[in-house]
Amino acid sequence: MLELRKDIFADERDDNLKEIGKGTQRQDMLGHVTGTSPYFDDHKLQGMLHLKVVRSAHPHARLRRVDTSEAERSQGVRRVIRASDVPRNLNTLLSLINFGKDDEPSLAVDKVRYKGEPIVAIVADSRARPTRRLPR
Amino acid sequence: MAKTPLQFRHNGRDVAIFVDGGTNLLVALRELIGDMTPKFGCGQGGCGTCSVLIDGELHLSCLTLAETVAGRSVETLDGLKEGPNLHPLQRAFADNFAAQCGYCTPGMLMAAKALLDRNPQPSRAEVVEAISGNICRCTGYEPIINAVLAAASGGRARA
Ligand code: FES
Ligand code: FES
Repeated sequence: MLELRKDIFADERDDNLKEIGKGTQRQDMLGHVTGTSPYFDDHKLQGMLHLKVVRSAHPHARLRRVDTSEAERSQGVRRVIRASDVPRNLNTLLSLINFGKDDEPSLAVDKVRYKGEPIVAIVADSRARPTRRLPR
Repeated sequence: MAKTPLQFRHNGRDVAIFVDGGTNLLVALRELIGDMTPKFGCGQGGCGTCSVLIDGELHLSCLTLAETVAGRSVETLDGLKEGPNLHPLQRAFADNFAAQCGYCTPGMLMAAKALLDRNPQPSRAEVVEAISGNICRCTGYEPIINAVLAAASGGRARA
């Protein structure tokens, strides 16, 4: 006989399992209609910082110089992350499927290859803080 | 940067905050007042999930400068419940499966409220028109339209 692990769902349903043929309210519905379901953007953690990414405005361009001095001096900016800080990208699609060759950088190194490619990531106290200053 | 004092009514309660110039109403509500019910979807007027009522009229809070609501009345989903009870629209959304992930729901409900407040017995076409600025990525619009119509006919029985 199939053993049902009832303990896991103990607070979600009673035991008679006579659910077929009648409507059952979803557990998350009340949160949805009252706007209280927490989404990613609704979390406020203690000491939470925000990250913004400066992206390429060009479809294909050489990165001669990335000038982060102004960003670094800005009030509320904790850290400016550049390509050299994250030399290995552990999360590319290719690495997830064990493709072997995996040459997609987290942040562009000396060239950008598509419009919107990440170049620099800025960690700051608030979302408003990160400023954009795009060298080319 | 100098901050500007700002007072308005938020779901029937007077609130007073200080805002940076250029702050939009969505950020003011979520980050300064702590009302997380209006959602950030696109931040550029395309999705409607940030919808709130200003003096009863539907507005996209992401495109509204916070300072423009000084002295006015702002309603969000947080104020829709009638005491401990769900508003008929909330009931109807729950009963008609009109939310899946629920991210568009705050905007849908406010758009629907704006409609029913001025037109308690809308036609189906009027409902479609009323929520046409709100994008739902998952439910499909049919259950949402049905929910608004159900709330409207329920409202007739109540009134
Ligand atoms: S967040 Fe305001 S319309 Fe999308
Ligand atoms: S329920 Fe997910 S976007 Fe509408």
